[in-house]
Amino acid sequence: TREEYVSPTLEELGTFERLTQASGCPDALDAQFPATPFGDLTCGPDGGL
Amino acid sequence: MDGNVTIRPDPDVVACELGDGLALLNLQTSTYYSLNKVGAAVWEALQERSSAQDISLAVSERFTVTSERCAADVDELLGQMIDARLAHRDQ
Repeated sequence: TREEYVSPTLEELGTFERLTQASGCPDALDAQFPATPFGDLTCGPDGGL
Repeated sequence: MDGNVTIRPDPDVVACELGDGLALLNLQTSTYYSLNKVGAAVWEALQERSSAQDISLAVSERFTVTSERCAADVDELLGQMIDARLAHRDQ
């Protein structure tokens, strides 16, 4: 019942704008990661992710 | 890489499902990565096991692959993860 094997790959997809309180987290967070992959990220107490 | 070297996932990395693989987000480097299905299995094994040897064994039990090829592939992927600061060797 083992699954078909392919060599594992790691691909860089890109970068995102660092979110800080100054850049408007959580508004900027919602814009970059709409409720999509990482859509459940939240803003921490320091304004970062 | 020594198969018994301890490898840890970086605490600043969050993961979520993406297709049949995973998307990884490094909050320190602000960089996204994707892993295919087997890569995702390596990442999942890395959460519970700490050596390349143990991770390779877990992956080879799940997929149709020889232990030699799996060990070589896992070794290469872990090296890429360390270079990308998604994981690190434990001191």
